[in-house]
Amino acid sequence: MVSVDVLVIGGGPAGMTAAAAAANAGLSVALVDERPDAGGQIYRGLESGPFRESSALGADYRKGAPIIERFRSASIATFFGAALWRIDTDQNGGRAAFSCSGLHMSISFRKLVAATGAMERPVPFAGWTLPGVMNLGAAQLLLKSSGLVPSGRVALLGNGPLLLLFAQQLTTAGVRIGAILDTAPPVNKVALGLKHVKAVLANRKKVLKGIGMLRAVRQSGIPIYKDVSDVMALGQDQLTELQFVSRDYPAKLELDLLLVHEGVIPNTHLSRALGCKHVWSDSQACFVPFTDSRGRSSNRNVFIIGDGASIRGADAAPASAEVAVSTILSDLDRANAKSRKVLACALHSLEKEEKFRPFLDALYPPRLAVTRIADETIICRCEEVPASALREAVRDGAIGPAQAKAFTRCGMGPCQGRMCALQVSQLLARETSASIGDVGSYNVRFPLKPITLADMAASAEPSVKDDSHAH
Amino acid sequence: MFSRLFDLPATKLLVEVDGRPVECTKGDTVAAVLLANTAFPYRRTVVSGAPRMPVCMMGVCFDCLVEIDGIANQQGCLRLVMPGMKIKRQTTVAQTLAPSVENL
Amino acid sequence: MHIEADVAVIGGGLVGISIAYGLALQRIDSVVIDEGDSAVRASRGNFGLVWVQGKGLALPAYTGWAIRAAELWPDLAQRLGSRTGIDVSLDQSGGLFFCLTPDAMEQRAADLQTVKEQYGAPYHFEMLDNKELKKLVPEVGDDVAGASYSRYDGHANPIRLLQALHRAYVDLGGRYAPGEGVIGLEQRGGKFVVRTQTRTILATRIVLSAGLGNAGLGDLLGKAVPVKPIRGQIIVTERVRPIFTKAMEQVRQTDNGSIMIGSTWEDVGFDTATTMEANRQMAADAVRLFPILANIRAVRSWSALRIMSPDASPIYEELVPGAFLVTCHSGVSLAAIHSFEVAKWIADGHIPGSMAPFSLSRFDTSATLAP
Repeated sequence: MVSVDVLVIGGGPAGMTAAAAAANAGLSVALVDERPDAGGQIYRGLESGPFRESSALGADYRKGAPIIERFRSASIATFFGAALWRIDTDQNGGRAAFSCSGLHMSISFRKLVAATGAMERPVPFAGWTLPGVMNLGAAQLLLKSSGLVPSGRVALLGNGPLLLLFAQQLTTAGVRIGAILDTAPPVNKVALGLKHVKAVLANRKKVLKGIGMLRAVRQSGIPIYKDVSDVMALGQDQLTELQFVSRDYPAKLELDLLLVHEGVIPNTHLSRALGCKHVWSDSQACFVPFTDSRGRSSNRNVFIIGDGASIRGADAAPASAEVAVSTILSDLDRANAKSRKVLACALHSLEKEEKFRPFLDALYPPRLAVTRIADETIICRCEEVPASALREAVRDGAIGPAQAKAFTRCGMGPCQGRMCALQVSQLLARETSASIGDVGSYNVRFPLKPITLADMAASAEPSVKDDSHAH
Repeated sequence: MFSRLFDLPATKLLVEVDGRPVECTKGDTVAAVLLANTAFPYRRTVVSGAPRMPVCMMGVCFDCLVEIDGIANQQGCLRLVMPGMKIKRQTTVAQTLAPSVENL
Repeated sequence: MHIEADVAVIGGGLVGISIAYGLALQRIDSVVIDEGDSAVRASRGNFGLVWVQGKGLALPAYTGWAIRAAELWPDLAQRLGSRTGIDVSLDQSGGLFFCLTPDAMEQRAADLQTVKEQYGAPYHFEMLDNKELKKLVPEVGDDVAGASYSRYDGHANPIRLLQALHRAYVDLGGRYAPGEGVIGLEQRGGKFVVRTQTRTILATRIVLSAGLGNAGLGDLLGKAVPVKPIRGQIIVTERVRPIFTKAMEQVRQTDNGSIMIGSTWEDVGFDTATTMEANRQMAADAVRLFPILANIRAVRSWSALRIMSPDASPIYEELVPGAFLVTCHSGVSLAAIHSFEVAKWIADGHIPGSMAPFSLSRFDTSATLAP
């Protein structure tokens, strides 16, 4: 069994920065990622994809290049394409079990850095499971990693900076976007800007960039529908038509592909499986793992950084990583003047990014994703459970997510609740008139990803201390 | 639904999708290859046989499940193509099993 | 909030809800008090076996009780199905308990022979070697020594059972008060006063069906209830097309196609964690039992705490007049007999002869005589 000081889970900007920083400070480091290469989601394809040398995707994409460079030059044991199935922790750190390239490995660590990032907020609506409906970020990942672009009649549904960025990237690539369906409720942007004036002024460049993207989209001539709600995707075996309401008027579009995006939320699967405490964030309308100002979770040896801790964006990810690593150095009695300076700098950067968030959250709130889900709409994609089954479960005495899951099979499929957890908690809160923080979320258990029984068995460990007897 | 912006580069390779040869390139994921070649439907669900396609491309949604080299239910968005890889779409319930069970 | 009821059933898991349903069938008014979603709940961990073989080794009366419980099950399933529309997927076509090694076979055969002799009435079981076992379950691995087979055994869907009992109970006029555990219990003026955080329940009789919580409730009545947690870890796989039809002790295919693998027997207090070692061992045993499962994926592992009495058999005891203690670790197997016969005991107040051996007094062991 291998032992390291620091085990990092996730090879996006936060994970790569943490691994490099820890290694460069002299700690022994390993990094595990299920993806076959580095970059996470935001810098997908930057190592070996078709845009790795190009500026066609914009300047923000290129920001990942030095991060990857620093990561690859550092002395880190890397395991890409790894299937991590379990992490156990104790007061000295813990142990992670995964397989990689056919080998079954176990790494023990003193400190764990969870950098598993964010996922797109699931947005259920009538027909959302039809082929032809896909997350917008997913389409962007296809562009970055394989140079694939939507063909046919495509529309973008939702709101947020990623939607604007992707619209710009597609337009640059010569793709004709049929329409943008903006679900943001009407808001006085100027009044909002004034309310958050300090954050806006401190982040002028970001705001100007955003305004630039908005202008580019408006000038592109793409039809934009505002104040969109009541969406229904129709089609026999795939999407052919979308019905919706825009500014109180019914409308419809014939479509082949609908790309949906209402922001991102932390992917809390690992942090929940580890037993970390989670809290409801009203401003981000999602659960986030509890972390202190240094990224330390409720487990003192587990640090959660990047968008996996709370949505703060790509620029905050490296800063949050440096903060955590500096804290780890302190924990391990390896802090020095340099690490304290890095900490101070990183805390300052992080604070700046965090101050900007409330403005963005208010500018781009989820809308479809927080609307009452209709009875017939599927809420659990894996097990094909409609919302009505959950409401029935509540009537049968299921007052919380675990019991609701038991009665309906919601959350029992391969994704183990990643896609439905937030929607289920929202529904239960509405149906039982409880606060969603009190309702909580599913218990998440190992394995972290489905693992074959042969792989699970593949170890020479002796049998469990077990007093089996007939009963 | 999806088309390639660029011609396949020199690193192009051949895989099999449902028995027919398909050209793709090093760095493509299995899911991307199926989407680029409009292998439709990408898959059918175990519960009702409803048609699905990948939704998240990042390992979260599990709608990209596909059989690769005889082993079923792999997340196609996480696997890079290799020359000669045998990819089979899971469009019937029986295809949720590994062939070792099917061959009983 | 103030509630009055003839019977307050404390604990809304399988045991409590079976009894409450049984009381409702007899038109006895009750309210079920239940904790919240995150409480320790054995009912959610249950493997789903409707099991007879092996029961009664430590307490001979349990053998006949288990056989009767299995006989009553089809009636319960049918009643629940017609009242609620929920099919609890009862299948009673015999059950297998696998013995991986020849030693295990020998031990099992000896145990079952003891049970049979103690029972003293016709009792069916067969020891099957690998060849005979393969006739029943062709997928069995070559290096499995064999299994014990009993035609009394079967399985059902434990979660649908819970849901159906609940729905039937409410449909019959039952009241359900969830979300809060009992924080106070006392007797006043011939009645029981049960307090939770926001509710006070006044009842003529109470049922203690709170699983491991019965120990604390017993304390409130000044009585010791000897139950302790025994952890069982379980693994469940993805859905697979129907392979196994038989009910089997260690590996079982559910009605939705997923395969359940279990379980451990660990004395670790109230720790509901799972362990890597148990995962590995159970997965290895499952693949040894059925090599075809090698490439089937586990999607989840969890653990549940069995409510274990000193002889692994139920306890039925009127702790103080009007307070009925019901505890077991086979909430599914005994669901029907709890609904019908145990509920009748509570309704009548007279314990029938078949239930007398399950009294708490069997644990007030007489002094050991020095040899």
